[in-house]
Amino acid sequence: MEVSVFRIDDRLIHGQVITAWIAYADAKTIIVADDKAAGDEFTQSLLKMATPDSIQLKILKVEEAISWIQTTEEAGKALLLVRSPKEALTFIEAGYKDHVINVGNMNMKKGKTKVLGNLWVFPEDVELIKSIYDKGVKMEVRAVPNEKSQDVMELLKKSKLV
Amino acid sequence: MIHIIVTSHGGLAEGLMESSNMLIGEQENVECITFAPDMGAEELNEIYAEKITEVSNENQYLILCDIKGGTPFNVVSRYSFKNDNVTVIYGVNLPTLVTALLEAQNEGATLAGLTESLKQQFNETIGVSDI
Repeated sequence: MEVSVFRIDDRLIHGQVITAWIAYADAKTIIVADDKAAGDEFTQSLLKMATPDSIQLKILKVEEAISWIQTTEEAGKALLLVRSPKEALTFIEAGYKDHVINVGNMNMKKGKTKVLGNLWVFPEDVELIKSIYDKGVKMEVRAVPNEKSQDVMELLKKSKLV
Repeated sequence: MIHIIVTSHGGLAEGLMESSNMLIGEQENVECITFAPDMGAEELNEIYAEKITEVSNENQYLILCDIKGGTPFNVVSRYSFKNDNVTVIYGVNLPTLVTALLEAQNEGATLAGLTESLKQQFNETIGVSDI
Protein backbone atom coordinates (compact mmCIF):
# COMPACT_ATOMS: atom_id res chain seq x y z
CA MET A 1 0.00 0.00 0.00
CA GLU A 2 1.29 3.44 -0.89
CA VAL A 3 1.57 5.95 1.93
CA SER A 4 0.94 9.34 0.32
CA VAL A 5 1.14 11.47 3.47
CA PHE A 6 3.17 10.65 6.58
CA ARG A 7 2.14 12.95 9.43
CA ILE A 8 3.07 13.52 13.06
CA ASP A 9 0.08 14.79 15.01
CA ASP A 10 -0.44 14.26 18.72
CA ARG A 11 -4.18 14.74 18.21
CA LEU A 12 -4.15 11.89 15.64
CA ILE A 13 -7.47 12.17 13.73
CA HIS A 14 -9.20 15.54 14.20
CA GLY A 15 -10.66 18.46 12.23
CA GLN A 16 -7.60 19.33 10.11
CA VAL A 17 -7.08 15.70 9.11
CA ILE A 18 -10.72 15.06 8.27
CA THR A 19 -11.38 18.26 6.37
CA ALA A 20 -8.13 18.75 4.48
CA TRP A 21 -5.55 15.99 4.58
CA ILE A 22 -7.66 13.00 3.55
CA ALA A 23 -8.51 14.77 0.28
CA TYR A 24 -4.95 16.04 -0.24
CA ALA A 25 -3.55 12.56 0.35
CA ASP A 26 -6.22 11.03 -1.91
CA ALA A 27 -6.43 8.46 0.88
CA LYS A 28 -8.81 5.51 1.09
CA THR A 29 -7.26 4.36 4.34
CA ILE A 30 -6.01 6.07 7.49
CA ILE A 31 -3.36 4.13 9.39
CA VAL A 32 -2.92 5.19 12.99
CA ALA A 33 0.36 3.64 14.10
CA ASP A 34 0.31 4.03 17.86
CA ASP A 35 0.97 1.50 20.61
CA LYS A 36 -1.22 3.38 23.09
CA ALA A 37 -4.22 3.73 20.76
CA ALA A 38 -3.92 0.09 19.69
CA GLY A 39 -4.37 -0.95 23.32
CA ASP A 40 -6.98 1.57 24.44
CA GLU A 41 -10.67 0.99 23.84
CA PHE A 42 -11.65 4.62 24.47
CA THR A 43 -9.12 6.05 22.00
CA GLN A 44 -10.24 3.49 19.41
CA SER A 45 -13.90 4.52 19.82
CA LEU A 46 -12.93 8.16 19.34
CA LEU A 47 -10.82 7.50 16.27
CA LYS A 48 -13.61 5.41 14.70
CA MET A 49 -16.13 8.13 15.41
CA ALA A 50 -13.89 10.79 13.86
CA THR A 51 -13.24 8.82 10.66
CA PRO A 52 -15.63 9.43 7.73
CA ASP A 53 -17.64 6.35 6.72
CA SER A 54 -15.98 6.22 3.30
CA ILE A 55 -12.50 5.82 4.79
CA GLN A 56 -11.02 2.58 6.10
CA LEU A 57 -9.37 2.96 9.50
CA LYS A 58 -6.51 0.77 10.74
CA ILE A 59 -5.31 1.25 14.32
CA LEU A 60 -2.16 -0.78 14.81
CA LYS A 61 0.88 -0.92 17.04
CA VAL A 62 3.87 0.70 15.35
CA GLU A 63 5.62 -2.58 14.53
CA GLU A 64 2.35 -4.11 13.28
CA ALA A 65 1.69 -1.09 11.08
CA ILE A 66 5.12 -1.34 9.49
CA SER A 67 4.57 -4.94 8.50
CA TRP A 68 0.91 -4.43 7.51
CA ILE A 69 1.80 -1.67 5.04
CA GLN A 70 4.52 -3.85 3.52
CA THR A 71 2.44 -6.99 3.18
CA THR A 72 -1.13 -5.86 2.52
CA GLU A 73 -2.52 -6.45 -0.93
CA GLU A 74 -5.06 -3.67 -0.59
CA ALA A 75 -4.92 -1.04 -3.29
CA GLY A 76 -5.22 2.71 -2.88
CA LYS A 77 -3.34 5.33 -0.95
CA ALA A 78 -3.03 5.75 2.78
CA LEU A 79 -2.55 8.58 5.22
CA LEU A 80 -0.14 7.47 7.96
CA LEU A 81 -0.51 9.13 11.36
CA VAL A 82 1.86 8.87 14.31
CA ARG A 83 1.83 10.72 17.59
CA SER A 84 5.47 11.91 17.91
CA PRO A 85 8.94 11.83 16.33
CA LYS A 86 9.68 8.64 18.29
CA GLU A 87 7.25 6.57 16.23
CA ALA A 88 8.32 8.35 13.05
CA LEU A 89 11.94 7.34 13.67
CA THR A 90 10.88 3.70 14.06
CA PHE A 91 9.32 3.85 10.58
CA ILE A 92 12.43 5.46 9.13
CA GLU A 93 14.65 2.80 10.68
CA ALA A 94 12.42 0.22 9.01
CA GLY A 95 13.14 1.86 5.64
CA TYR A 96 10.45 4.53 5.24
CA LYS A 97 12.70 7.28 3.90
CA ASP A 98 10.84 8.58 0.87
CA HIS A 99 8.64 11.12 2.62
CA VAL A 100 9.06 14.60 3.92
CA ILE A 101 7.37 14.01 7.24
CA ASN A 102 4.54 16.43 7.83
CA VAL A 103 4.24 17.83 11.34
CA GLY A 104 0.72 18.97 12.16
CA ASN A 105 0.58 19.30 15.90
CA MET A 106 3.12 18.71 18.64
CA ASN A 107 1.25 20.62 21.29
CA MET A 108 2.12 22.37 24.50
CA LYS A 109 2.87 20.20 27.51
CA LYS A 110 4.74 20.91 30.72
CA GLY A 111 8.51 20.71 30.13
CA LYS A 112 8.31 21.55 26.42
CA THR A 113 9.86 24.55 24.66
CA LYS A 114 7.80 26.53 22.17
CA VAL A 115 9.04 26.68 18.58
CA LEU A 116 5.73 27.59 16.93
CA GLY A 117 2.14 27.66 18.21
CA ASN A 118 1.69 24.08 16.98
CA LEU A 119 5.27 22.92 17.53
CA TRP A 120 6.47 22.42 21.09
CA VAL A 121 9.40 20.11 21.83
CA PHE A 122 10.83 18.17 24.75
CA PRO A 123 14.65 17.98 24.80
CA GLU A 124 14.30 14.33 23.73
CA ASP A 125 12.18 15.40 20.74
CA VAL A 126 15.09 17.56 19.55
CA GLU A 127 17.40 14.52 19.72
CA LEU A 128 14.86 12.38 17.84
CA ILE A 129 14.45 15.04 15.15
CA LYS A 130 18.24 15.21 14.74
CA SER A 131 18.32 11.42 14.32
CA ILE A 132 15.59 11.63 11.67
CA TYR A 133 17.58 14.24 9.69
CA ASP A 134 20.77 12.14 10.17
CA LYS A 135 18.97 9.35 8.27
CA GLY A 136 18.42 11.72 5.37
CA VAL A 137 14.73 12.42 6.03
CA LYS A 138 13.30 15.93 6.30
CA MET A 139 10.37 17.23 8.29
CA GLU A 140 8.03 20.16 7.60
CA VAL A 141 5.54 21.99 9.76
CA ARG A 142 2.29 22.46 7.88
CA ALA A 143 -0.98 22.22 9.79
CA VAL A 144 -3.15 22.24 6.65
CA PRO A 145 -2.11 21.52 3.03
CA ASN A 146 -2.39 25.10 1.71
CA GLU A 147 -0.25 26.55 4.50
CA LYS A 148 3.39 27.50 3.80
CA SER A 149 5.76 24.63 4.56
CA GLN A 150 8.47 25.34 7.17
CA ASP A 151 11.50 23.09 7.61
CA VAL A 152 11.65 21.73 11.17
CA MET A 153 15.46 21.78 11.44
CA GLU A 154 15.57 25.42 10.28
CA LEU A 155 12.95 26.30 12.91
CA LEU A 156 14.96 24.53 15.63
CA LYS A 157 18.07 26.44 14.55
CA LYS A 158 16.20 29.74 14.68
CA SER A 159 15.01 28.90 18.19
CA LYS A 160 18.63 27.97 19.08
CA LEU A 161 17.60 24.46 20.08
CA VAL A 162 20.25 22.84 17.86
CA MET B 1 -30.47 17.16 38.53
CA ILE B 2 -29.29 17.42 34.95
CA HIS B 3 -26.43 19.86 34.40
CA ILE B 4 -25.90 21.21 30.92
CA ILE B 5 -22.49 22.21 29.59
CA VAL B 6 -22.07 23.96 26.24
CA THR B 7 -18.56 23.74 24.82
CA SER B 8 -17.00 24.85 21.55
CA HIS B 9 -13.99 26.01 19.57
CA GLY B 10 -13.89 29.78 20.09
CA GLY B 11 -16.90 31.88 21.03
CA LEU B 12 -19.77 29.75 19.70
CA ALA B 13 -20.72 28.34 23.12
CA GLU B 14 -20.87 31.77 24.75
CA GLY B 15 -22.70 33.21 21.75
CA LEU B 16 -25.30 30.44 21.90
CA MET B 17 -25.86 31.15 25.57
CA GLU B 18 -26.34 34.82 24.84
CA SER B 19 -28.89 33.98 22.14
CA SER B 20 -30.64 31.52 24.39
CA ASN B 21 -30.91 34.16 27.11
CA MET B 22 -32.79 36.36 24.62
CA LEU B 23 -35.30 33.60 23.98
CA ILE B 24 -35.91 32.03 27.38
CA GLY B 25 -34.03 34.22 29.85
CA GLU B 26 -31.04 33.23 31.97
CA GLN B 27 -31.03 29.67 33.23
CA GLU B 28 -29.21 28.23 36.20
CA ASN B 29 -28.49 24.69 35.08
CA VAL B 30 -25.97 25.59 32.39
CA GLU B 31 -22.27 26.42 32.01
CA CYS B 32 -20.11 27.39 29.06
CA ILE B 33 -16.62 26.11 28.34
CA THR B 34 -14.63 27.71 25.53
CA PHE B 35 -11.68 26.01 23.84
CA ALA B 36 -9.53 29.06 23.05
CA PRO B 37 -6.96 29.17 20.21
CA ASP B 38 -3.98 29.25 22.59
CA MET B 39 -5.18 26.31 24.70
CA GLY B 40 -3.96 22.75 24.66
CA ALA B 41 -6.10 19.66 25.17
CA GLU B 42 -4.70 19.16 28.67
CA GLU B 43 -5.69 22.63 29.79
CA LEU B 44 -9.17 22.14 28.34
CA ASN B 45 -9.46 18.86 30.22
CA GLU B 46 -8.58 20.58 33.49
CA ILE B 47 -11.56 22.87 33.02
CA TYR B 48 -13.89 19.95 32.26
CA ALA B 49 -12.59 18.16 35.35
CA GLU B 50 -13.51 21.17 37.48
CA LYS B 51 -17.03 21.38 36.06
CA ILE B 52 -17.99 17.72 35.68
CA THR B 53 -17.94 16.54 39.27
CA GLU B 54 -19.76 14.10 41.53
CA VAL B 55 -21.41 12.31 38.64
CA SER B 56 -24.20 10.01 39.79
CA ASN B 57 -27.80 9.03 39.00
CA GLU B 58 -28.90 12.15 40.84
CA ASN B 59 -26.24 14.37 39.32
CA GLN B 60 -26.20 13.88 35.54
CA TYR B 61 -24.53 15.87 32.80
CA LEU B 62 -25.55 16.66 29.23
CA ILE B 63 -22.64 18.04 27.22
CA LEU B 64 -23.50 19.93 24.05
CA CYS B 65 -20.44 20.39 21.85
CA ASP B 66 -19.85 21.90 18.45
CA ILE B 67 -18.39 19.30 16.12
CA LYS B 68 -17.77 15.56 16.12
CA GLY B 69 -14.07 14.75 16.13
CA GLY B 70 -13.01 18.25 17.23
CA THR B 71 -10.88 18.69 20.33
CA PRO B 72 -13.72 19.68 22.73
CA PHE B 73 -15.63 16.57 21.62
CA ASN B 74 -12.56 14.33 21.83
CA VAL B 75 -11.55 15.52 25.27
CA VAL B 76 -15.01 15.60 26.84
CA SER B 77 -15.97 12.18 25.46
CA ARG B 78 -13.68 10.66 28.10
CA TYR B 79 -16.39 11.59 30.62
CA SER B 80 -19.23 9.85 28.78
CA PHE B 81 -17.22 6.72 27.98
CA LYS B 82 -18.98 3.83 29.76
CA ASN B 83 -20.87 6.28 31.94
CA ASP B 84 -24.65 6.48 31.55
CA ASN B 85 -24.81 9.62 33.64
CA VAL B 86 -22.91 11.71 31.09
CA THR B 87 -24.11 12.17 27.50
CA VAL B 88 -22.32 14.05 24.73
CA ILE B 89 -24.25 15.53 21.80
CA TYR B 90 -22.31 17.10 18.90
CA GLY B 91 -23.50 19.67 16.37
CA VAL B 92 -25.23 21.83 18.97
CA ASN B 93 -27.51 24.55 17.67
CA LEU B 94 -29.79 27.09 19.27
CA PRO B 95 -33.09 25.14 19.13
CA THR B 96 -31.42 22.06 20.60
CA LEU B 97 -29.87 24.11 23.40
CA VAL B 98 -33.14 25.85 24.25
CA THR B 99 -35.09 22.59 24.33
CA ALA B 100 -32.40 20.95 26.45
CA LEU B 101 -32.39 23.79 28.96
CA LEU B 102 -36.15 23.76 29.34
CA GLU B 103 -36.75 20.01 29.38
CA ALA B 104 -33.88 19.39 31.80
CA GLN B 105 -35.80 21.38 34.40
CA ASN B 106 -38.99 19.34 34.07
CA GLU B 107 -39.89 17.46 37.19
CA GLY B 108 -38.56 13.92 37.08
CA ALA B 109 -36.42 14.58 33.99
CA THR B 110 -33.75 11.96 33.37
CA LEU B 111 -30.70 12.16 31.16
CA ALA B 112 -31.81 9.16 29.09
CA GLY B 113 -35.29 10.66 28.60
CA LEU B 114 -33.93 14.07 27.70
CA THR B 115 -31.43 12.60 25.25
CA GLU B 116 -34.15 10.59 23.52
CA SER B 117 -36.43 13.60 23.29
CA LEU B 118 -33.66 15.79 21.80
CA LYS B 119 -32.74 13.07 19.32
CA GLN B 120 -36.27 13.03 17.93
CA GLN B 121 -36.13 16.76 17.34
CA PHE B 122 -32.73 16.93 15.63
CA ASN B 123 -34.18 16.79 12.13
CA GLU B 124 -36.53 19.68 12.82
CA THR B 125 -33.78 22.01 13.97
CA ILE B 126 -32.04 22.42 10.64
CA GLY B 127 -33.53 22.47 7.15
CA VAL B 128 -34.34 24.43 4.02
CA SER B 129 -37.25 26.83 4.34
CA ASP B 130 -40.30 26.09 2.16
CA ILE B 131 -41.10 29.76 1.90
